[in-house]
Amino acid sequence: MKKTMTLNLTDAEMQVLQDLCDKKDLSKTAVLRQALRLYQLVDVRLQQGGKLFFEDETKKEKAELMVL
Amino acid sequence: MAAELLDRIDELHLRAVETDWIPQIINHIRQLIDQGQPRQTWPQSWHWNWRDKVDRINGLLAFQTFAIMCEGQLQGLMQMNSARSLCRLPEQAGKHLAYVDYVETAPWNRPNIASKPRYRGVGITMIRAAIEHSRDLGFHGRIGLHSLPQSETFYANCGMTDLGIDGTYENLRYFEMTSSQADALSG
Amino acid sequence: MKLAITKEWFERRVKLEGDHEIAAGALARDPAPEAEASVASESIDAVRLAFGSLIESLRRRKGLTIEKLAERSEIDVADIVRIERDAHFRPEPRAVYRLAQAFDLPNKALQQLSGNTSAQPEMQEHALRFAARSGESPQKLSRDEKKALEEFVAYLARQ
Repeated sequence: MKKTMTLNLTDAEMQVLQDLCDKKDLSKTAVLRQALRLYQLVDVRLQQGGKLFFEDETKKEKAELMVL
Repeated sequence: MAAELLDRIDELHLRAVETDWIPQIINHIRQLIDQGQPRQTWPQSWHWNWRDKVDRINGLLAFQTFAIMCEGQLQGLMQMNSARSLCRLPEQAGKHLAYVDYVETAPWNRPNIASKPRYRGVGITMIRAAIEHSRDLGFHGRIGLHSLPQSETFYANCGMTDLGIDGTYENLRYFEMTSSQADALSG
Repeated sequence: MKLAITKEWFERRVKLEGDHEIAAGALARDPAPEAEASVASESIDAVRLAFGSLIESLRRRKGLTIEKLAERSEIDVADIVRIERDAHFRPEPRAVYRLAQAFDLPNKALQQLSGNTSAQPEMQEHALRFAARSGESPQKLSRDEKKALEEFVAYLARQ
């Protein structure tokens, strides 16, 4: 069972969405659903005490991502 | 024989693993030991803690589980993950795929264990379900998996591309399916 | 999710499966023979053999399945199978301790039998006597086997 909703996006957001669709070969709906799955996964891990890092091997840099 | 594909592994299936599957696998191992086979090792990932694994992914949208029932018995299980990895094949590199975390058929259907496997078709049905799940996600039927050594022929037969042994994942062979391969198999 | 598998499709495609195994993912892995071939040089320790028979006999006498014993003693099912049947397998002292608790036997004696500590000559003798008298299939103990088990348990309890 699927439900439909209207989403209001700014031009800039719409542009990003469109770019992601083209780059990832996904529909707009598929991008947003994947984003939701990832958001939930990360959120649950963070709640369990996990940490999310971006690691740059060449610069030996590790930055914790805490915006979620 | 009419089989039923369910898009969720529930308590009933977990119990069937514990009461029907595991004792048969234990018996098989005992026979191997009693036949004087060399010392056996059980990799840590041996699935006796199945229940924990299913509990851990409960409610997470990134995971989807499947079970096949036939004649009141659990015949096969599958777990899929849509947030594990991206495509590796050059022609679709970086695109999304639905990854098969795990698929297995009941011990009595396995040629390695049962001298006369009871049901065939759990594998092909699960692969078809994996493709449909990928389509449902908007991933155009692209799937990936790490085959156990004894199952490599089957995945090659399905038309998947063999990307060789994956040193990052218990040295299992990685297979990937493109959307056109998926179309060919489901046609 | 809709899954419209027609009978026609299934019958056509099931041939791809044939008699092949279909398992994928590390979770589906079965036990595999160990790669190194150092086995031949190792002799089977009769005391350790007696330990396996003892655990299996005690478990069956209590009417426990392997899974139940595993659950009660918090030992992995695979480890119980190996303790009972694989004389090359050396269980961890912690697992042996839990078995001692589960069957109400002295931990020290079971550690000796399991090979974690060296067995006293007297212990070796009793273990050998028990191993010699216990049969191939502990699920049906003969009268003599029962007696052997009881005598051995009584000896262990005194340790």
